[in-house]
Amino acid sequence: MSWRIADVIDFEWFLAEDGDLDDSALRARDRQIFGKISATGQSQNRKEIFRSWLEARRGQSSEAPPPGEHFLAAWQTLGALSAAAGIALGISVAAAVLLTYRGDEPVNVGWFFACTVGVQWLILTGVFAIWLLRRTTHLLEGFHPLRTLLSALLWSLSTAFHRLPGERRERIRAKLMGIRRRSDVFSLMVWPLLMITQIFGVFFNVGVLIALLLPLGRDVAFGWQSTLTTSPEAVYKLVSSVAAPWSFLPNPHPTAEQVIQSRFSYSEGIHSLSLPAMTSWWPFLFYATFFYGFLIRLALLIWCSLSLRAALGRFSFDHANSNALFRRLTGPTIQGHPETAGLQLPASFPAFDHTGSGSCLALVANELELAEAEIENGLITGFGWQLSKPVLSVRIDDPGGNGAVLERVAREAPTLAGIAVLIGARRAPIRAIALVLRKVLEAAGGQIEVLVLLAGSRDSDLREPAGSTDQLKTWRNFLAIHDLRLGLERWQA
Amino acid sequence: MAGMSQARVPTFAIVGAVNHGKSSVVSTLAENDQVRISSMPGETVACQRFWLRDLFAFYDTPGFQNAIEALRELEPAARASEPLTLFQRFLERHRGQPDFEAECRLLQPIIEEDAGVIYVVDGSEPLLEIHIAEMEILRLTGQPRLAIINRTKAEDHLVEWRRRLGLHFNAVREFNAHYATFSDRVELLETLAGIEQRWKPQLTAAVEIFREEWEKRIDDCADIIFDLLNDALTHYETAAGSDLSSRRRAISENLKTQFMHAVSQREAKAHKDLILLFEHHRVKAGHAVDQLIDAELFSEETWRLFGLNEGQLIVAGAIGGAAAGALFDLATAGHSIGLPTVLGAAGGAVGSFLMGKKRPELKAKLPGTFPLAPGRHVQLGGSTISVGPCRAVNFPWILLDRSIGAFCYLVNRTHARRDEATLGAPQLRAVLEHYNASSSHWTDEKRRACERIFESIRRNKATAQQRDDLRALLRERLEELSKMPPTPPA
Repeated sequence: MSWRIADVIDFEWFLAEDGDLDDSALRARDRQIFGKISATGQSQNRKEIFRSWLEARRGQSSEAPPPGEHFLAAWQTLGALSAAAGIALGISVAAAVLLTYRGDEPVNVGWFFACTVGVQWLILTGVFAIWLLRRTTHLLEGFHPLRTLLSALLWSLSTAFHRLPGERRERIRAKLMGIRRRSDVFSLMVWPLLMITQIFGVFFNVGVLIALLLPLGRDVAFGWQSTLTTSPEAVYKLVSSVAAPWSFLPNPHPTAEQVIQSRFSYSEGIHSLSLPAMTSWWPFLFYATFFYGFLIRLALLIWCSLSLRAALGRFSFDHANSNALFRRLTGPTIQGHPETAGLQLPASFPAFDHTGSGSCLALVANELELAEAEIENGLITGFGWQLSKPVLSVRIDDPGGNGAVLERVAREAPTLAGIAVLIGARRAPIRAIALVLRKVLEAAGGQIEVLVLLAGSRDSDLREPAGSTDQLKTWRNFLAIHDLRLGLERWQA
Repeated sequence: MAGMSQARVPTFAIVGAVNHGKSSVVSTLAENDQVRISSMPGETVACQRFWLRDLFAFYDTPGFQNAIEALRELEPAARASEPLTLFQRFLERHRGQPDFEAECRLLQPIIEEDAGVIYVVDGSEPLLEIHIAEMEILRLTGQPRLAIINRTKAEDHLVEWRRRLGLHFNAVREFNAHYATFSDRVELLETLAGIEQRWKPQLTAAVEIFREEWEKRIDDCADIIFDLLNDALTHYETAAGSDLSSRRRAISENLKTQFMHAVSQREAKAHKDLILLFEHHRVKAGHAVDQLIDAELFSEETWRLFGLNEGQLIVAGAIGGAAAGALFDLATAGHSIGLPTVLGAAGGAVGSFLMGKKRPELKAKLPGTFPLAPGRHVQLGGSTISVGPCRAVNFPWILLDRSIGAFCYLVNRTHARRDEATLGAPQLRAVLEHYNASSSHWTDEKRRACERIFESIRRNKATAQQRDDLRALLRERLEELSKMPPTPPA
């Protein structure tokens, strides 16, 4: 099953929805879904499992359809509108130039070409130049007009946040930051938007061609004139070079003689010009619009479409939430019952080879009292990770006090599957903790999974098995607000 | 640093770790239930000043976010000749920077406005290294410091907190922001007066004014309740009569409804006045405008739950009857040899016994008629129909119980609470039971004195002395109740 952009949107939407649900309920639901997926004997490929999960979730959703289909419908509507707008504008622009013909002087070929094809080339050249400058130099690094506009909008929103109650304020801030965190999803969105602009461009050229085919285009006399001291020979050379791509077609461009005979000056008007010479420009303009306008924009549209497909093919689904989903789907399940003497695991249940399994470094907040054996067991059963001993105690609220720990993280990161940071769930998430986590992320190098695991309090008699749902939400918001791209799960000891 | 000006209002910054209850303490101390409080960490993001009258100012501050790092920069203050210069530089260097934004905001009133420090800790949370860093930063400011141990959960880490706080603060007090009484608040303010000599006269004077204001508030409460009793016991509704008996019945029923509505509204107004006096914006009086009248003050349930018990009602009925009989005796200059008094007392007692705690039916006074001829009659005793005043023995006691219930609830509700409440019958009954505040717990002597005054008020014959006596009795009771120990309501 291939992925469409609507599927990615729905997938992310379902993951975000799951964020507010109880952890054990999620596990039970996802294990059930995976059981069904396995029963159908489908491939064990991570992307395909996610695709099947998505279909299952769509089937389970009793509420309004997820936003992917809405996005597709909106995109198709926008495409149709931009096609209509393109045709309308193409006809209008061409007609505006052609209707300047009053019979006393011909329509200037150069002017028509500039208004129809020339403008498009100018825009394309500008965009290409900016892209090239940004790629090769640092000149336009700070030139992000769209981003600046969005930042201004976010800033004005954030000024209103202080007046909101804390819980709502943090939730909204987390959602806004979540938009930034989903940059991989939003980079996909670039392609449909670019396709809309190319659809507009293709149909703009169609509009120009229609205008040329209409009587108002066919009954017009064309000539050329320039304030520059240009010889007819030079113009002929230019015209024949431009017409090279369609030179195999009949009447690809005016002959040298026709070029001479269609040169006019505004003071003398049309009377001295040859009629065949003036009409010989029409096929040239039609071909030029078709080849340099229509075909180029069509090629760009096809390129955008292929790029979108390639981007969807490359989309990795490896952010923290999808990793957590994968673990929920394929991770081991152990169920106990007080009345049963032995543990019975269904023999047919598929064992899954975790791609993320390997060794893991455990950083434990210094106020937590967890035995190494307990951590080792929790990591292997919960995440399929082998503990890389010894467990490191981290001063979780001291950004400047973990030099040795960070050094070891940086040294071992290339050989690790992940890093687990165990924090007391009841700890108030403060900026100092965010700074420590950022340093851990930096030391890890961004190639491995870093997970924050919320553990119960250190008072063993009052210990909660793991953080409460409210604590989980608070911490999730906290990580989003501080743009910390790491996973968050409860510590299932 | 300039010394604290004598003219300036004593100002304190309430500081502490995130989610340890700073805003709750500010709310309770400043008697302001508009301070934003949440169980979610980091509710307060900016410094906000709250006033306790014009006597004290409290700054609610955001919690420490990066204390250990901040301490690294501020530690040299311990050896510096001008330690506060170091703090000033810290503020200048980091103001507007996200890493120390909270520290700058919370230190600003202490460093730049010479505010004293009230450090709030949650005694149910374990003491961590970061808290020790916070305490050390505050110690280095050199400002007068008081530590408050608040408790939000059942867990107890008081011993470790006390031991450590004692090393860093001038004084340490336990203070539960959610159940603190007036005397708890006064004691806290007195402690503040004790921690810094140069502030003492000002703070002591402010505490004294605060105390006087509280006394005045109790007086005002007694007046509100007295006025309610006076108005309710003398209230009646009248309307022009009619020749038609069916029409008279309709007018009577209408008047009864009007009477109950008016008295209920009067009671609601008194409760609202009490709420306003205590500045509780999240508490509402029980009577909604569109509420069915029978649902509250005149419901069977209310008459069963509030007021005197059966035995006390019989005594009260006897007193009322005897008082009425005595008037007749007086009118006959003793020629009736006290018989009306005896009969009145007996009648009152029997009436109360028969009625028990049932809600009495309101009766309309109809003008009498005398037939002269078929179709012709003459009206006797005026031409108006009237309902009220309510003569039921238990009526003033029910009003009194409900008002005292409202007072008890309000006086014991701290401004740190954020739940909405309505002073309806179940709420008032629960509070009365919790604090044993019902009038049935009054001494016989006080109850009899009250009953005599109620009877005089009903007859519009209460003397100024009687009115003052009732006010004094009410005041004494309210004063007593305001000093009840701060136990959380059930």
